[in-house]
Amino acid sequence: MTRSDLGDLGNRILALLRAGVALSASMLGLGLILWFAGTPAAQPVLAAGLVSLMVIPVARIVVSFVDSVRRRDTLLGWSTGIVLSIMILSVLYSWRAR
Amino acid sequence: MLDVGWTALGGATAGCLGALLGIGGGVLLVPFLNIGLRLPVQSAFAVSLVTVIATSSVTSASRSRAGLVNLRLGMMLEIFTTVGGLTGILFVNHMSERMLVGTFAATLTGIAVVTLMRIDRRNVLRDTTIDVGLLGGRYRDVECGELVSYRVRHVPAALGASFVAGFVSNLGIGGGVLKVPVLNGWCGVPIRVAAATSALMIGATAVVGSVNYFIRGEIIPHLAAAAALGVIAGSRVGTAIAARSRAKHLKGLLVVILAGVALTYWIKVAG
Repeated sequence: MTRSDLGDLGNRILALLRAGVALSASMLGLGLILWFAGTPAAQPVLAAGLVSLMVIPVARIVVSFVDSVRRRDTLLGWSTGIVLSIMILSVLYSWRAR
Repeated sequence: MLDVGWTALGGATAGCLGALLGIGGGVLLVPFLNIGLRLPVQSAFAVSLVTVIATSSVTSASRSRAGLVNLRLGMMLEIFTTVGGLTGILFVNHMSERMLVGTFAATLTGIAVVTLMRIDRRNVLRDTTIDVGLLGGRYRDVECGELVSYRVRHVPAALGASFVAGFVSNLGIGGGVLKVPVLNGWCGVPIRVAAATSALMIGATAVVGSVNYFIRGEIIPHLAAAAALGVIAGSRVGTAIAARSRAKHLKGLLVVILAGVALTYWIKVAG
């Protein structure tokens, strides 16, 4: 990240993104193979792969929030906290409106 | 089965260009799925939005990009993007296909004009001792090979663009296509920093819309998986090319892509 005072947060986010991409790509790849094979197990595996992909940015914000609270970085803490709250609100709205 | 192959190929191309330009690639994938593979526009938006998360995660996981990300600026803008995304959900669930397509075309046209007007703009400051403020930053610029600084100006413009980007993200695009030109053209952020910061942000933006489409059952799982895997491969190639490309060429490519896709959709609206 461009400011050195953000400490190890950049490295933690890098590791998280890489692990998240590897996990979701594996599940999506496996799901696609099962789909080609015509097995009913394909749908839950594909759904799990899609959900794991959607979790990556959320996990990144959670990590940033925890880190900013620990370092008492007010701007980053408020920003990430508000973004997380809005995400939860949007999920709740989508669930109710389905 | 053929559709899966084409979707993966379309995803790879969108991922490569998306990573190159700091956008999600949805701006290319939506017309490919909707016009090329004849998917309903809502399904095209839904599949595309999932791939935006993949582009964001892959490009931001690259070490060359990570050094450019302005995390404080990105997180602050993310507030407005997610609020825009949530507002967009309230509208997109009730809009007709013609209205969705018209909004998509109008958004792209506006961004193409803004980018073209500011194509020669460079925001880097060679003086590394200046105070960059709370939101500015420093990084090593590949074009001049030196440590450079930048200040962030016109923050309200960045906040407004982020809100609109979040709103239009429900149209299958991450909104990077809007944030990058505004951050670079008006807010003093160098194109590479704007692209890297936007790339990280669009993942969070796309989550809001993706979850909405996922819960409503609009995402076609096997096509979304093929597109996402294609994007993951293509994004790695795009990120590698971006590190060696000139800023002006990147912007020129962005204008050509935007104008081409906008024209296609204006023809569709008129027809």
